[in-house]
Amino acid sequence: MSRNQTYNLQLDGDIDYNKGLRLIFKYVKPYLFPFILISITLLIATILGNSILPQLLKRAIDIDITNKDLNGLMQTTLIFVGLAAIYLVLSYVRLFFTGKLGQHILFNIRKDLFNKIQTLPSKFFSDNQSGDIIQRLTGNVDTLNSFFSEGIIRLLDIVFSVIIILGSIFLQSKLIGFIALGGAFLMILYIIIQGRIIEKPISESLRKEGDMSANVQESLDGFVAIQSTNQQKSWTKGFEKKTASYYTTMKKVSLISAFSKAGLTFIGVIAVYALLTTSLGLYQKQIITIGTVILILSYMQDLLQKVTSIAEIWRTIKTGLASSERLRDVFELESDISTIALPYKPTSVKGNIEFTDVDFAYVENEKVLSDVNFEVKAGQTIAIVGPTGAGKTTFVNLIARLYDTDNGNIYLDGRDIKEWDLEVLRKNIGYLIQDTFLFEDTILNNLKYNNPKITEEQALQVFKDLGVESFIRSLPEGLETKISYESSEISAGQRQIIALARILLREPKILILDEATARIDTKSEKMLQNAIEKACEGKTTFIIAHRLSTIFNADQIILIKDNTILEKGTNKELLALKGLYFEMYSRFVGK
Amino acid sequence: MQKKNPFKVLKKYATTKEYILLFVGSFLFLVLLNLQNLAIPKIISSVINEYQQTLQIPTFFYYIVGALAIFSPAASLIQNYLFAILGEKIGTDLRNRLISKVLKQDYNYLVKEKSSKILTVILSDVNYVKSSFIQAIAFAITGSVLLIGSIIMMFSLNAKLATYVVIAVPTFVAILVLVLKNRFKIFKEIQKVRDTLNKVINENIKASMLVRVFVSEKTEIKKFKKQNMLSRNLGIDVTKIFALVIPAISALFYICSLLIIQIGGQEAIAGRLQIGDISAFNLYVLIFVLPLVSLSFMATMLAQSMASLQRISEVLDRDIEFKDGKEPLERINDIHIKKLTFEDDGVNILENINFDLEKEHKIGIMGLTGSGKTLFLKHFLRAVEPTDGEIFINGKDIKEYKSYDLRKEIGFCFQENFLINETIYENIRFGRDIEEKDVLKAAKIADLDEFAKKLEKGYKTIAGEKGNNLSGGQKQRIMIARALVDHPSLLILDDITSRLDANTEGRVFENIKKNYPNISMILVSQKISSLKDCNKIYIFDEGKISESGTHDELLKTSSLYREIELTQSNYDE
Repeated sequence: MSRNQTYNLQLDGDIDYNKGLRLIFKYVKPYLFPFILISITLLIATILGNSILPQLLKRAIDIDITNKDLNGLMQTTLIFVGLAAIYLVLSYVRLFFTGKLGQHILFNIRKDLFNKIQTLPSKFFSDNQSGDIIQRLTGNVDTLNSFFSEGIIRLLDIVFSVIIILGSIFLQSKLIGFIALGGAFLMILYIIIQGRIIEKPISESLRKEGDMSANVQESLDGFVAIQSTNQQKSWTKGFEKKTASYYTTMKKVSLISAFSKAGLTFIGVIAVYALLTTSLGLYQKQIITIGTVILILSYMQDLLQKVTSIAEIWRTIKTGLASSERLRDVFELESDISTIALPYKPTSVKGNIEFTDVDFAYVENEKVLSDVNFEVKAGQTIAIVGPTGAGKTTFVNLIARLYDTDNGNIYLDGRDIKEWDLEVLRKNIGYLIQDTFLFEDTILNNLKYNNPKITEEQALQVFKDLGVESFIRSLPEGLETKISYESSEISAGQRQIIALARILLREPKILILDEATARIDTKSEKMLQNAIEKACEGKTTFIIAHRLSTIFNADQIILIKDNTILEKGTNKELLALKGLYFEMYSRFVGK
Repeated sequence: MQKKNPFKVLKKYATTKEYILLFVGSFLFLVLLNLQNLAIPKIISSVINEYQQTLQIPTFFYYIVGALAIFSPAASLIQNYLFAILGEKIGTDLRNRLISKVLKQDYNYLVKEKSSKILTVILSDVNYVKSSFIQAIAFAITGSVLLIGSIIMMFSLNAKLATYVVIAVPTFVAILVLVLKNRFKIFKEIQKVRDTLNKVINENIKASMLVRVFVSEKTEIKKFKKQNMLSRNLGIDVTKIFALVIPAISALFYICSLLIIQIGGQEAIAGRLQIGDISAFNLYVLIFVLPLVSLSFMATMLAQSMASLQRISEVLDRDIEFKDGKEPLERINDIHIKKLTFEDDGVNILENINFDLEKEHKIGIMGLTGSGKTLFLKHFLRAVEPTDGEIFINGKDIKEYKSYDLRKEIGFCFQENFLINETIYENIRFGRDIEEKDVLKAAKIADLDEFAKKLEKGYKTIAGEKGNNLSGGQKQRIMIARALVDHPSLLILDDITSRLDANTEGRVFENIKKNYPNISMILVSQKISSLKDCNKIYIFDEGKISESGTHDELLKTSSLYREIELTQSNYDE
């Protein structure tokens, strides 16, 4: 596996239909036998429904009615009822099993895709827009759903029907069979050609629709900017231009598709005319009966209907394959967080950490950290300071193995973290990230996340330890209060407190707090400060912080600048250095 | 809010000549085409009947085929085209009306309505109305013509057979609807299950970091599997319904075929029905059954588009709350704000704010994220209105001034980069009627000149979506130029210096001082160095002004200010 792997998923561009097809085949394969059975049922039902049942009307006309045979007519009717019943049952069975099969295949695809995404590292999520990933898991899987329910089986249905209907016409008369075959062939050709012609304006209209949507998005995003510059009118005009351009394209699309429908109507009229006159001619020569003439007309009706739906089904199949390809893109990715055969799984963790010559870059040749060396004893608190973008977050991310180092090693309790069992390693690290995430669920369930044994008492105790139990008490529903994205009942600071409690309940040996207090107002921050100090006891703690009080109390201070550790030591040691830290400090104390 | 009649939105199209003509034209041809379809089976059966007797194709048939070969495609062409154009025209017009209305609202409206909802209304809801709604009308017209026509034709062929068909078919449909009625509840349930499934996916992607640091991949997989299984099982239940409905529709046709064979056969033997008419009957039954089957389909389509129409009407009929003033404003001299409070949902986001800006002064604002600074600044534009308190400009209430003048006098540079996918030049001009030399001058003041010179296309370089082709500092400088270009008398810079290095920032401020000696300024910054020379600095904390004073005063009185100076100031200095 190469370093600096990117996880960028292709957004658009040429579609490799073969790739999509291979994925679909892989998932259909385990169900090949039921699939064949369904196809056979479909074939029998098609023969029955499209070929035999229409012939009974012919039999009634040619034999029973011509011979004025009421009993024969009754017989024909009963045969019809019997065969129709068989057909209906077969249809039901076929439809039910097709649907069931589709649901199972979808279930498997969705499951595998979701599980795959769980194995991918953080970089996958920073390389791609979350909207795009979600779209693949939802929208694209749904498109595959219609591929299975409407695509393949209906295509199969049409292929069977067209062959069987044409075959049935041939059985009645070869001449008419050839006419119908030629007609069907012309029609399919016509549909393919018009599909090609309309493809360009349709994709143009999609692009214009995208433009329009981007424009609306821009005007909503920049609402205040538009108002502050008094540009409401010019923006409305700008949007009108986009809608006008979309309208022009849609006019083209409408004209082409209207022409295409008119063409089909024309072919239909000609087909009826040709079949009717030819079959009447054959009837005159007494080659076929009057019942056959009527039968052929009814076959033709079916044939026209089936052939016209080809275009639509073809489109479903094509979009299905395109979606399938987008899913395959995800399946092809592999995590670059390496695992080893026999990972280190200690029963207890102390929390000694050592960095030796660590280098790291997100993108090749753009080092974010280089030549980082330092050592932390178990139980120490380390404050990390430095300007934005200096690599502070990257530094702590490496400890949790969210990324792996490019060069150099990180040791926990004397063992390289790459040798540790990833689960054991991360379980012992409590990491409070900058953009904390809470589920739309109760506070208690959020605390219980991946830690189901937590009781209500334990949860309350943590808030007590943090000195914020009053906040839980002030909520009418206490720990059962639901967290939602929309409601502002729970503030950003309170969310952070809940997230911190959630971490502490896991009793980690190493605590990482990345700007944990940045979003908390000054009052809550002071409250949290004491709690954090308590929480740090007995744990190796890394704090990325802006506030001085935090920094003063740390056992070690690391000043990161220009992608490396510029200064490190205790507050006293750093002051004695008379370097950058000293400069910062004196500016504060001096005035 | 009272519910308004959503159809009012469409009234314009029922009263404007252009739309009426399109409507009448397309529906005239639609009716003609339906009548033609009704006539065809009869024509074919007469030909067969004639032929059986004379063994000769009647000459009228050739004329009819010739006429149909021309009329049918032509009518279909005209009808389909006019129909599509009508939909597109209405769609275009609705969209234009919507955006124009939305842009006339005040900022608060967007906060309440959520921009994602408005986006959906303008894009998808309009699509539904322009296609489904019009199609539903077409369905209704076509359906009734075909239904009535086919009944008449069937009765004209044979009353007894027709009676059987007309009684049997609706009875069967009614039974089918009754049987399935309760089962359709499943569709609501499936929507719920889908929503939960999507929520699990959404949360998993958004919480990707949390999942990894909590090693909760297995928990997530289990959670997802449960929903995935629920979704599969419900999907299979739905399959059961579909597997029932589709054969049921086939059964409907077979019942008709059955009646034609048995009853039609009896009638034919009795000599009351001709052979050719049996085939015609077969075709009329098809024409009769199809509208009945599509009725339910049409009902869902109509319901969906009605909901869309309702949402469109909510946006279009919404009153504009913003009341503009009448007083012209030539320049902003001083601003005095007294006891300003802004309340949302019973919570005071801004509370009791007193603020003064004197002529040509430079005012600094500092405070943590979320302390209400940006919201406060939006009051100057009247983008938001205070719940309580007053804002005076040049001694008069801000509400008395024309908002156009007010906004022209304020150069507002926002925190977020609001750049459009146009050239740098157009991004500075931003739609206003400003001469090229002024645009270039503003660009120069914002220190863009050197950067632009390095670009192959200079100021004609496209900024990209949201300015993605440019760096943070470049985007910021374009925003500064945009704020300056219309010669404002008050410049508001909302935390813009965080993305500029100290040298650039110094140059920009020097340029502004040189070129706009009389400008007043409000500057939000986290950098003490940027605020040092302000006439007064306000410190925001949780929506209140906790402290204010000059730099020197604050260093003495405010511990927070001192702390910020040490830790948040730029280490480069």
